[in-house]
Amino acid sequence: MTRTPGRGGVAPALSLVLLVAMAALALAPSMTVMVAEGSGAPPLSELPQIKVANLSFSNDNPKEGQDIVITAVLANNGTFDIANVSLTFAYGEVNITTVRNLTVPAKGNRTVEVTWKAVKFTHVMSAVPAVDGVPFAKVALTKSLTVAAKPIGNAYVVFAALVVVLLTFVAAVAAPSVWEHMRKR
Amino acid sequence: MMADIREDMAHTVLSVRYEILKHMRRTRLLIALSLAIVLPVLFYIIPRVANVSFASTADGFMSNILGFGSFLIIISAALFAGDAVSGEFESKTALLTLSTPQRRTSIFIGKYLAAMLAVFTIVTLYYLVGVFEVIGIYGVSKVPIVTMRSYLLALLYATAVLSLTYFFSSIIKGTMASTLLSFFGLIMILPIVSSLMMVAKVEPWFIVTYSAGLITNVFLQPGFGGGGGGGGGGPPDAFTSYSPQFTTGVEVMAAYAIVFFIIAIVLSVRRDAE
Repeated sequence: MTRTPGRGGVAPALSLVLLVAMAALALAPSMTVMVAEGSGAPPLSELPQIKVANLSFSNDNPKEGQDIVITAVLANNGTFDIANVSLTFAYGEVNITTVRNLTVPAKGNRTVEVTWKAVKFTHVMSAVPAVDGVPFAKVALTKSLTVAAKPIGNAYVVFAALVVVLLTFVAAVAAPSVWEHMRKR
Repeated sequence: MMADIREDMAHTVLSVRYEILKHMRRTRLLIALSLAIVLPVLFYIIPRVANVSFASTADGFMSNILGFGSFLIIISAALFAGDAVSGEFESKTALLTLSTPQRRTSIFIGKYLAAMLAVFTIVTLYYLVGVFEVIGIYGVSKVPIVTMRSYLLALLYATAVLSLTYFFSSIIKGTMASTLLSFFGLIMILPIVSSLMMVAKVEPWFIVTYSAGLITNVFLQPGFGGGGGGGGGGPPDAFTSYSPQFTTGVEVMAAYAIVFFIIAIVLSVRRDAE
């Protein structure tokens, strides 16, 4: 009976390599955390912990054409600062503006304000955050806002038009006499 | 010259008084006054009888009532001015009235002003009944301020409709034809032309019946008001319908009132009584 030399030594060696690899994988997250904590970069598991906590308007019953200040509060529930945050304000499908390069402190808030010239209608106003250009639509906040139409017209304009019309009628009565007098002259 | 003008004014006032007496003798004034009272009262009685709630706001209630205001104006104008000129020539009464020492212009302007006073009375009564209903349902404090604006617009529209009706009456010989043409022209033909233009995405700003939309538009709910040319209420390009712009609408109504009045008077004066 012959014995294959070295075969009994390969299996333990492979097992050892596998064990080391598994151990390395198991330790990997904690190592990342350690690195991340050292450099300030957030761990992957904490990235989505940003949300729009509040959305408010300077006037809840605005009129068409008025400047409305929209205030959104971004909240970061994570333990790391989140940089490169942008916040997009919109009414319905129409974007108002996007505020970029925001940093939200860990366990803190960041207030963002934009000014919008109100457009008449009942709108669904929204504030959608994004980190590194990736939108977080699930943590966006929406709020309904009714913008009243401008009061239509002015009673004085109609009154003036009526006066002009009535004066024309009076002038029409006097016109033949005036015309005759001018012709005689 | 001033004496002549004063005499013309006195003659016009005489014509107005005579025409008003004529309107009062006829049943037309009674019919129009009845309509001005019955129409808005129906908006009060029917919801009560059917146990249906009224509009949630006083603005909405007034807007509902005044939706028929323009119809009432057209009916009244056809009743009082539809045969004002054509009737004189058809029944040959012009041979008598035009042979008086009075100027023709003062006679025809007097007829117009008498019709205008009658229509104004009916419009005023219609609004008064509406306002009393609002007070009864919602209270005095809820009477919409824009009612006055709507009322003035209704008076301006009434002058425009009267001028157009007077114009038809001055160019057509038969009383029936002139009355029907003005009635159907304003009730059907012009609104159909407006609708067709809107289908073709052209705003019919120059059609007077389109401008009449302002009478009720001033009551529209916040956020959905008219007053914008393309698109009406709502976000831009959301709808294909149009709503009249205020200033343009007022100008169009005033232009119709003045231009058709002058043309009608000139044509009436030049018309041969034989």
